[in-house]
Amino acid sequence: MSDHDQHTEVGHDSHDHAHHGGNGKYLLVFVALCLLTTGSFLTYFPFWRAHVPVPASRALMMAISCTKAMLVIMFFMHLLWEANWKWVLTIPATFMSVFLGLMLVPDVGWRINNGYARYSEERWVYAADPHKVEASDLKAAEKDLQREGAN
Amino acid sequence: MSTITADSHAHAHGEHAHVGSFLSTYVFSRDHKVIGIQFLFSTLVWFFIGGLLALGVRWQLAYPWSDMPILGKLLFSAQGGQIAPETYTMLFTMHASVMIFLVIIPILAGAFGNFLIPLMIGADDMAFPTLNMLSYWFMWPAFAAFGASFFIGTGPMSGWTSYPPLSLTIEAQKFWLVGLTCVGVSSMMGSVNYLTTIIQMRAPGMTMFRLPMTIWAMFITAVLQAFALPVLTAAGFMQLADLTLGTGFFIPEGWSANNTLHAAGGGQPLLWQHLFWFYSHPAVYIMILPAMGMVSDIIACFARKPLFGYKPMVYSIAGIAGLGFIVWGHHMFVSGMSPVLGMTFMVATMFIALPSAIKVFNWLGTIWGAKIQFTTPMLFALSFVAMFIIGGLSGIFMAATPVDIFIHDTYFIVAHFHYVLFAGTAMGVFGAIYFWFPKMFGRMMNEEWGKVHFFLTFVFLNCVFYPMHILGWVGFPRRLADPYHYETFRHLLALNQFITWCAILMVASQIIFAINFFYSIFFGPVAGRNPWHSNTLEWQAPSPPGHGNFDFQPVIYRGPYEYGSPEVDIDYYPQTMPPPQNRPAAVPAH
Amino acid sequence: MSDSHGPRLSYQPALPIPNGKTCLWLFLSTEIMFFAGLIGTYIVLRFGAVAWPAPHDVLLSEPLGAFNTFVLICSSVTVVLAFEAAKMNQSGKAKGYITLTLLLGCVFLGVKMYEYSHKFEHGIYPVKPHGMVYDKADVYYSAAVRKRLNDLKTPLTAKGPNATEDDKARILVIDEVMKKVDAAETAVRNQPDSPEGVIKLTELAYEIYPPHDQGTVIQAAEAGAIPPAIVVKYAAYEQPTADGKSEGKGEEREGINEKNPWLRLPIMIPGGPMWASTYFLLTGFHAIHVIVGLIAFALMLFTTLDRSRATLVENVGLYWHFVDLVWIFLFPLLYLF
Repeated sequence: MSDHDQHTEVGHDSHDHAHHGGNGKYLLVFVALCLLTTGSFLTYFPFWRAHVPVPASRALMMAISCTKAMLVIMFFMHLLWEANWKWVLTIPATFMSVFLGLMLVPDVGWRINNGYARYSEERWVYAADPHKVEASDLKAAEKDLQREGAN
Repeated sequence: MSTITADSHAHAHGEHAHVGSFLSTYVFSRDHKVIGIQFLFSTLVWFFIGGLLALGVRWQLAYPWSDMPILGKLLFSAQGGQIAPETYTMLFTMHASVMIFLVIIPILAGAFGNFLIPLMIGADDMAFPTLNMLSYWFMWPAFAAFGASFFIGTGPMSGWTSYPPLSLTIEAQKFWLVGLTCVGVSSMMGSVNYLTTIIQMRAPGMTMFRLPMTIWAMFITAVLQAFALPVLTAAGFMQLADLTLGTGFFIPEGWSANNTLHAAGGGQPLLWQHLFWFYSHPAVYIMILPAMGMVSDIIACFARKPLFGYKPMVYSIAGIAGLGFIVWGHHMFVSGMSPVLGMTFMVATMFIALPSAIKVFNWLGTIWGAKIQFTTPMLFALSFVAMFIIGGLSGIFMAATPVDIFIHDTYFIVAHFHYVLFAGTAMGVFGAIYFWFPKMFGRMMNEEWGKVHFFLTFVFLNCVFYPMHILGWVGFPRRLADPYHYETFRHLLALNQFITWCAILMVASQIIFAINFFYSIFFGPVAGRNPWHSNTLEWQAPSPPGHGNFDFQPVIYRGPYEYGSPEVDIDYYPQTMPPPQNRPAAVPAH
Repeated sequence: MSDSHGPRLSYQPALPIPNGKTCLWLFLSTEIMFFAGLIGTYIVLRFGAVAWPAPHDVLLSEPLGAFNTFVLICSSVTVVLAFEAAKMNQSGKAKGYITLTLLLGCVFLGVKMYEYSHKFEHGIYPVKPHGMVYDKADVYYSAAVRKRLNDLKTPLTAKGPNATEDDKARILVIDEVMKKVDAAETAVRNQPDSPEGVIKLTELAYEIYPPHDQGTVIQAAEAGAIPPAIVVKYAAYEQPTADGKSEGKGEEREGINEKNPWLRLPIMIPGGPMWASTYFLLTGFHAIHVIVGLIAFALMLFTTLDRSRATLVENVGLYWHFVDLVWIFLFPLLYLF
């Protein structure tokens, strides 16, 4: 009974103090966030682009974003110090949003390469003079490109 | 006693204690009961309008291209009293939109959710009375937008699903979408408020598993709204942007309409269908779960028996809601959706039959061997169960992809969702109105006329909707102004005329209800606190409850369905009645 | 109806947090779903698109985006510090931090406005029924260019003898572009089966608004948006070399639109219209959330932010962190992917 009263009257700040002392933690998180942002910003530079394949840097950026999001949620939004209700709220929302995204992939995300048909190519056909790119055309052009590079 | 009293709550009291002017008491009220009744009246008005729209549809199907009696000259004078094909399209579009967005969803969550939640859990109001008031007043822009959309061009006419690219050619669709967004905002405000109230403001002793089924259903409905609705709002904004700003989210490649190239293409019409059904499939559960909850309470009360399998009922509602989120694709089997998804959605949809069947069998278990009191609310509740079985079973047909490919867009679908939504939800709502009317207005409705209303509605609704199964099985298409254009369907005209006349009689029999309702508000016999001898908490409050709902501090000792308990002499055992031995109540922590 | 007020009710113990915070967290989960819908849409449309412009094609500046990220992170820190100060009953300090947050939010919006106006100047925004950005150089595109040129020329020629030197120069430019349009359209008309016309149209499009990134040129060629022959011509653009320096020929890359800002001819960016749709939708809704947060901060400045208001500061802070959270995902998705 008494511990309930404590919850109600003093609210969260009583146990907040027990767990984390002072604003140093926030500054630490701030520094971490800045460093992580710099990490994903590295991918902007041509040097990085020349050496790291695109999927790898995309995966890195998403990993960094998730880490940053976790830092913000855990420390700035105080979820680290909350009771178990946090799971009830955050897990369904996360699950639902990821599920929604995933379900859109086969129909919309994969529409240019879904294993059945590349039906998005249709989008280029509506012109008065639809130009079909033959694979041989492209190869010839690439060959030309290499020849020019050699010259 | 350990307590939680919220600050916001205490504020609400200070202002409510003074009796305000008429305007602040009845119009801009922050009292959940007044807001609930406001919702009830607004939605009943729209229910009437939606019914008339349906009659327009029926007239055209029974007597195609003939002058409509009475209203025809008035409304369609340009065509000489006929319904034009565009008007027909507008009629069924608006019938569905009005019934779904302005009637069923707000009457369940808005009217009954508002009125019942604080009363049934022992709170003196919602957690956020002002937010609650706003959630009602956000319905008015929706009313205005839907109302205005009738008069823009030929009105919204791309079905209630508003599929692009068709919807992107219609001016009135802008208003329709604005209305939809306002309903969405209103529901969102309502749902977070309900959730907070149910979580935080239960009377001492009212643990989660002592909540009546109505509250459980409202709780899970609010969860559904909170998670699914924002996606529709986002999609609605996207379609609105496509219509007004020239973005291309749902515009396919090289799509031109009215001789204008909308080459902002590159979007996907299918994307709208996914986002729309991500909300609108959970929405069909939003449209039935609260009715299921209310029906459970009514059945237990008049069977005078404990509700059979309380916890399985709770879990099955949660199961329906959870599964409801992952089955939206079954609306899209013929849309060109990836077959991979089709299989997944089909299997997931089949699973919903399990929790639904659990609920049905539990209702049957509740009335098994009971001394049923056939009051008007009970008749409606029993018909809900029976009709839900028909509607649920026909649902399994269209869950199966191969069958759905045949019956898609036929009257079989129309029969199915009217069995669930009209014969199910609307009948449940009628039952709930008869049941809680004494609590709302302090007077009883007339039982005899209530039964007449029930029998007429029940007979005519089956005459209207049952033959639609037959129509659908023959392939009779929905959403076609003149199906008789095809020779195959010409012999179905007589059946359609029968349906139309039954529909007219069904709507006419609602006049009995309207007269009974309004007469009883003023002249019905005065009801006591607990006219039905029910256990749940709201019946311990005065009828109608004053500000703050309870004139005593409710303390809960047991679950809501202890009918016929051997511990007491009476056949019911209110949740607030202390145990006979007068032993100090053991209030378990959560 | 009894007017008398019932007793102050007490409740079953539930979550150990105030109602306001419960409600706000529930609201945030609805917001998660809202942005999940928007971001999910962006992701699937972007990766389902045949061609997608590189950031530079659509004048996105990564450093600006990174700067805005930094600004929002700073504002998240100040708002959490304001909460700590309010908990310590230091209203003045809390207000100071809130003011700082408000300023940082304004900086964010300012940068956003600059970015928007920069794109608007070049015609990169969605308009109904069709904006200035075209997916590919087809006959619709050349018709749009022709229409724009005629619209410009008619008032200039109408001036007759009153035309200034400037006007005459403009007419010359217009005629020069018109000649190219004519040539390309003639090629399309006379040899509908040969790629010659499309090549000419695409070359014209790239002269009007040159590609800023060679990767997208190759991607567009693979998708069939532009003839492969164009790739050869623009191969020299921005070849990243081993040491990471760009060898782009800067002076060549100035397009007709750039040289003559008054022209504002329609431009071709493969995937550009869709890009504009998603970019302005996502950043627009994020900006609306920022504005709502700023209004809340501004209103808070008129109250005393002592211990009794700590919950309020916390709730608005939670909302603000959520806005920051969305940007954390939007920045890499929109600027760096």
